[in-house]
Amino acid sequence: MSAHSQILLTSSEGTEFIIDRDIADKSMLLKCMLEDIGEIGQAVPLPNVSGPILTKVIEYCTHHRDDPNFLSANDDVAADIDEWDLEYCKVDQGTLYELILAANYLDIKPLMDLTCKTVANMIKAKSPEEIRKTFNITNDFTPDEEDQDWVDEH
Amino acid sequence: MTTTQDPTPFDLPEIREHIGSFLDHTDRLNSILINKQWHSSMTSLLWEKVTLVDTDQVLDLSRQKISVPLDVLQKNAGLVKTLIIQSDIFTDYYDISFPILQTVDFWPKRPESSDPSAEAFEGLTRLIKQNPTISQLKLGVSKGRSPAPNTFWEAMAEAPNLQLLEAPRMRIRHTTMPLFWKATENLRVLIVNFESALRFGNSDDGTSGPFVFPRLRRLSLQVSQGAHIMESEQIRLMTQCPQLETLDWIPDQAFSPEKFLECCRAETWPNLEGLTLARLDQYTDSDIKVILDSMRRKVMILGVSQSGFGPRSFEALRPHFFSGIIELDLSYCSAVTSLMIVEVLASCKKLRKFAAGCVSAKDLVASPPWICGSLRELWIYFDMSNGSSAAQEVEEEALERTQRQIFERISGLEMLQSFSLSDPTREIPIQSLDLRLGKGLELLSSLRELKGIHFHGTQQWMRTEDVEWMLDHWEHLHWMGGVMDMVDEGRNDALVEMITDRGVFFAR
Repeated sequence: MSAHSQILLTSSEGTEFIIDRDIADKSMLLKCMLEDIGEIGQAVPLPNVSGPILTKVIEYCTHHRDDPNFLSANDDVAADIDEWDLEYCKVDQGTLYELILAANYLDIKPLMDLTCKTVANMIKAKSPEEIRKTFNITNDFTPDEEDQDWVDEH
Repeated sequence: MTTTQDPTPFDLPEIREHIGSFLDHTDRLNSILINKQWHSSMTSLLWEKVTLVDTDQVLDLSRQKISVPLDVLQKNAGLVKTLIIQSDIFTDYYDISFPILQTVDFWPKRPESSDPSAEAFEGLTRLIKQNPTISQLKLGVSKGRSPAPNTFWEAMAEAPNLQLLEAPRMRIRHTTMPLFWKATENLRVLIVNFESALRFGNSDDGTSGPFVFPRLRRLSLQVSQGAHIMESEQIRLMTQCPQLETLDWIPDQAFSPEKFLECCRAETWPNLEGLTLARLDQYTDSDIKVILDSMRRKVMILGVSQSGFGPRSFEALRPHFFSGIIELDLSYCSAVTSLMIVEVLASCKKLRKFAAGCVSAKDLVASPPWICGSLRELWIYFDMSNGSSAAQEVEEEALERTQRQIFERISGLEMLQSFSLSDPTREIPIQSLDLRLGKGLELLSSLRELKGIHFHGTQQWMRTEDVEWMLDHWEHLHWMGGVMDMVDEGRNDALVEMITDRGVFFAR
């Protein structure tokens, strides 16, 4: 019986990454793709993911490689983030954004949950103005719109 | 002038919604005002959980108690997943259909009494009947004396998707018991506190139930004093749940361990991973060991407060340290030693809640590094003496060093939400960790999640700047307790006032 088969990925800059098949399968996108392509040694291009971010994503998937609960739906939104994951997310905002986008594109639900939870924790207990400042978001409400009672919406 | 902003993940609605799914109600209320994109994403999320309270009560938006007009709720009924009913006057609301309703939290309070009215229960019954998607029902705590009507239990028995029932005050008429059994037989989670006298097991008078709970994964059985339910009946109920993964048993009195141990030896619960028991005065170290040995799978939760838990039980628990134990309550167990506590902190990687007794500072600083980085709740108290008889100055220096080392260790617990160093054994406060700046308090700035700290029974000499530091650095601080200045009562009162002015609850 052969060892894990390997997959070749190419980042947006053209950098090549070789990873084991079981790690690639953490991404639902890759999993489905590879089921079609099969074992042919073609590189899978990922034009939406840069090299550094792909490295980080692979790091996450490798660490959680043997996690039995990885693929099950994480419905418990109250579950807290564990230590390794907490450290993993201690990155600058730009990197965090790119990780969210990469997790979304590659369809890696646990990484999506982790990165979105991290952003949610940055929003916690902040006023709208503080949230805008944190994420450099422009307020596009007119003063009149801002005063409207939200209950009347919808 | 155009603002050029780099595209961010927030531009994608599915990502805004996903982030929103992790926010609580208050944060969603704030997020809705960020900008128009967030407004549209958050609005539907906000309707996931609706709380109904009397408009006459204090309306504090930040405490998410908003009363919703009937027509508005009807319009948005399709978004509601959780309904919290805290008022008795909303009888018309019970006729609304909520297509995706999952959880109902029912605690309609009336000013004149704490019982829900008969109309409210009728309303709840109608709600259950016409919303078959309901999977969780929590009957709120009340000091009610009147039992729920039979029609309620009939509706419960017919509810097709009910998985969880939380009923902390359960008064059931003898004749209603068969309905109760029917209503609960397919539950996955049952949390119940029996207050009234009833008998579970007599098949002669028709009160016996189906007697096997095939799906029950979690049972929390509490029996109040005065309920007069025989021990054998309490045990029998528990033995009818072969699939149990989590069991809490809080009986009304301290029984001898025999019957319970018999169940353990007979491997009644092969899937049991979490066990919390109370009134364990008669349980010896060997008894707890028998219990632990019978838990063939992982031991993730163990609560054996006030028991004889000691070296034998500790030995039986050890194999579960690294990959098993998440919650461990060994409070008031006199046979638990300082070295045991130290070993737990250095060996239990997944530990989230830990309560034990007295730990010696000397043992702490000599121990290997702590690996319990996920700890959320910690209650241990400190013996700072080091038993040497060196000169006072040398001792003081050593004490300060030791203290800083302990503070450093605690500072590594970045997820800590609740920290208690309260010593329950002391009438007169003793020396413990000195919670002052300059003595090591500043090292705890990393505890950004800290919600509460208790230090009853410890000697403290806190000054204004120490308390201010705490209030400034621990943003989520919600409660504190203890005596801050043992000598100057006036100063202590002033500090308490300062704390409560900032909205933090204080327990003296």
